[in-house]
Amino acid sequence: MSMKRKVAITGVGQSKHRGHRQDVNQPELVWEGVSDALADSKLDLKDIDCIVHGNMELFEGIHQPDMWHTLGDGARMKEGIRITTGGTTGATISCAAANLVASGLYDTVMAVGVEKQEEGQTTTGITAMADPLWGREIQTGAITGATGVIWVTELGERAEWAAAKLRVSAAKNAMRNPKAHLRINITEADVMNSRLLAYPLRLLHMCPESNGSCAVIYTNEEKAGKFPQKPVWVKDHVTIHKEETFFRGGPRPQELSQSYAARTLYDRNGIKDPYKEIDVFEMYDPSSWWEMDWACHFLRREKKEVLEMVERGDFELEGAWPINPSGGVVSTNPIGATALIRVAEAALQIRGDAGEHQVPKDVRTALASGFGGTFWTVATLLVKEL
Amino acid sequence: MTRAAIVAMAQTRFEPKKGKERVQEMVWEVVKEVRETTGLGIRQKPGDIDTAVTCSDDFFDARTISDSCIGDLVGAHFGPEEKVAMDGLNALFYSAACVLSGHSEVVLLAGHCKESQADSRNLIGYCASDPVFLRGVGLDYLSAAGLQMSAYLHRTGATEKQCASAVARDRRHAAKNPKALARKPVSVEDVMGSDYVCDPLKQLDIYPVTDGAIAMIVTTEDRAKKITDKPVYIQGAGSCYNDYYLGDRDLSRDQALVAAARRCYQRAGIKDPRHELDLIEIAAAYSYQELLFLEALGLVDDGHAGRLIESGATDLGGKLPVNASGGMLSGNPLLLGGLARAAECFLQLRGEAGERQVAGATRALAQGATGPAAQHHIVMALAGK
Amino acid sequence: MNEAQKPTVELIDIPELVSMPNKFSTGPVMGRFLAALRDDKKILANQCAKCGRAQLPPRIVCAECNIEVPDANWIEVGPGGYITIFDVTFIPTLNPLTGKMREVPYTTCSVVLDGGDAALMHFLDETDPKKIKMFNRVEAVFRPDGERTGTVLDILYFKVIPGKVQEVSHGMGF
Repeated sequence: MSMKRKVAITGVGQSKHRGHRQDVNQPELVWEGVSDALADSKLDLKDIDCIVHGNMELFEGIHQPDMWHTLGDGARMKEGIRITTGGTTGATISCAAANLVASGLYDTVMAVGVEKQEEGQTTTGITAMADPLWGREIQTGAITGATGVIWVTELGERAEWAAAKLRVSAAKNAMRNPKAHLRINITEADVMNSRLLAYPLRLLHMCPESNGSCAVIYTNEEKAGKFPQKPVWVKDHVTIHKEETFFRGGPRPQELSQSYAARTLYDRNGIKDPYKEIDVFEMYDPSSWWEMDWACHFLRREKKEVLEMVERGDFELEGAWPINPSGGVVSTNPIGATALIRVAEAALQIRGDAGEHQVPKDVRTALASGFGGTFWTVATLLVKEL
Repeated sequence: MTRAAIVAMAQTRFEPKKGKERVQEMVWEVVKEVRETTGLGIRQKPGDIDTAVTCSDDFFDARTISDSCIGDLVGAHFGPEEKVAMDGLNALFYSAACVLSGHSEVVLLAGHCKESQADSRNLIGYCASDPVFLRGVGLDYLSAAGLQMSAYLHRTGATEKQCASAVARDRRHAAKNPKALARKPVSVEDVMGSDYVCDPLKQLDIYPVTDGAIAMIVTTEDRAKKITDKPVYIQGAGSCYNDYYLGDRDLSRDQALVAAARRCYQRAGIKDPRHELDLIEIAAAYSYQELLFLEALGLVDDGHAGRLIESGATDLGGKLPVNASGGMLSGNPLLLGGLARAAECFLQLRGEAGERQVAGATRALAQGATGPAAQHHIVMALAGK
Repeated sequence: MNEAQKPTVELIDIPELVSMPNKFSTGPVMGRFLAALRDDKKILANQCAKCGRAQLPPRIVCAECNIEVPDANWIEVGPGGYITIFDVTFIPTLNPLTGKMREVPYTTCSVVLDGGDAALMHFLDETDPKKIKMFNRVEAVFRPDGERTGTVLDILYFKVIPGKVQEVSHGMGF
């Protein structure tokens, strides 16, 4: 199972992600990300053969949003397909675009992810993912403190301070990223004092509801050689779903999809020690608690060790293993675009083009993850050279 | 150049309301069947199904991430699954792309839709209208189709009666399809006498509310020959988005379908579609689309489809059989319109279409549409050798 | 437009509320589970013939083994059990089934029910996080006869048994 043709990212673009974008309607928001990608790639719409669209329609209440959004993504008279998988959508359309290029059916494919969260009710939309016969009365969107409870039970208040530290680090990074939504000056104490959502998950731990779009252009080796922008190669991607009745913590514990996806990706690509062999990680972190928890799975380390890494600053922009130099999902979350933004940001890091939020090292290998659904993970491996 | 191939297919009976089942039961019925037919498991032994591609609609399912509830049924537990959220023929195309990319080898495709679940199918179509301009006038898929039918009849001089003859033909064919919802033939008079719903669309011009599911297994040409002695090959496909606002289009024509078809024929090496195809399956949700789409596919001269249909040439036994399955007008949910067309092509190309078999069929064409007045089209050419 | 521009004209918002009435079928598997709650105050799970794991709510297949769960393999579980993960929610959100705001605080949890290894998502009667421990013993409290209608809320909530904590040797798996 290896890709038949090499696939490169030849341009990335994002809108300015914000909590309020009443200045644009949905297609205009789409165009902002698409035009940014076209400018970055120095390509024109005529160079795009196919458009892969991602958006979670029940947030904005638009049926087949790809139809209306043709006004913003240039899909008119072009080939295209719409793929959606919840929070992982942005990563899935990245995989799909890569697959379409690798198949040889198209030379150049643009993935476009968008969400205008303010035009709907985000948490209600997420609650509607639960089964109407048994889960929907009970689930509270994506708001859960369960992971935090486990960390605090095992490691006490120290875990709370670590989660707060991660949040502050994300905020510092977001301040250096003009595209990020939440660009706030906060301290650990601010995090610890913020409103309690579901113990011990607090408002500042949790991702915001953002309005934004992202577009990434994928092409084959031949075109990548001709196109103006530096190519970033899509080495591999893995998608791991779980059954709907996920993660119950009963006597038959299941491996988390994050762990399984990481293992699969590393084994397939000969990565023995991600700490040494992966230079930067754009992780889909819906909350700082999950950032901390899933770092354990992506690094293959125990909780206590990861706690120490947080306290040491390993995950900060200048640290040994930077996570989310972009500010991550806790700073910016337009759901249909979010997982694609991880890929886009990872690509910028490899190119050395992330400006003020560029990690200060030679980035040769980057990891990008997507999260969503009933605890699914999509992991993408990007490299400077194949 | 290597091709992707379909090695197994199963469909439920299409019904107005599968009240005794959830979508899960519908999907399991067809997934179970294709797995049993091929003996393939889910990543349990080498060569098993490795990827799932699903097709469902969050509005029709009233469920965000509508694929999550069938994950266990399609093997998406510690494995990959991706949901194509538009007409199911696109999901078949994407399954083929996954196989051709090398990233997957054996793909399980499962599409489902329970149109009966929502009180109002039209309300869902209304939600495709943008809240800024179109919702103010209450445009939905039904009224968009009504507008297009008017425009098409006006420009071409085709008549409501000719559209009705397409319905009558589809229902004649459906009588031979044990999976079809509506198996009682209807006459042109029956169609003409049915109540106006959205002028000039009458009740029998409109596809019935339908529940159903379809599954397929798609793999490489080499693997396919080891799994079945009658693989059905995907020769090529093409898609195209039209303009969004109906006023930006010449509604009396279908430029997107013309483009999608041209792309498909070019990739499939079809130079003369009128003489190189043994059967055509068109996802016409409304009667006039049987005419408009046939013309846009280049299978008959512009404005001449009505006469062709009335002549009987598109009947089973005719020169160019269209919708041997009975088509959407005999009962397919909107989301599965195109996939059901491919399902029929699969049966026909394997000689398994029973009473409605087109003798010696080796090349077939399937088409699917999504969006207001079929804004997005996909066309796929399939072959039995 | 490549950038967000300062508005020079009034920005108009168009509010809209869309209600989508739906009727959900329950099918043979969920239907049986819900009927048992309504008619017998029983919680039913179904057990995979290959790996033996019990599923709650019952499912058509076992996702781990990819095989259909036989009809004969339905078992009764509970009404007692222990909680594993729990969430005390303080922020009100909209219930998409009713369109009404939920009253807070409320506690949701995962209950591993006696008699199998299956866990059910439901409510807990305790809303003070300091009074809830992982692995606390709990028991289902049903609605009275005549008030159960065949929904998962025929169980009103799970009641915490104070001071009783289950001895568990299994890890949490995450």
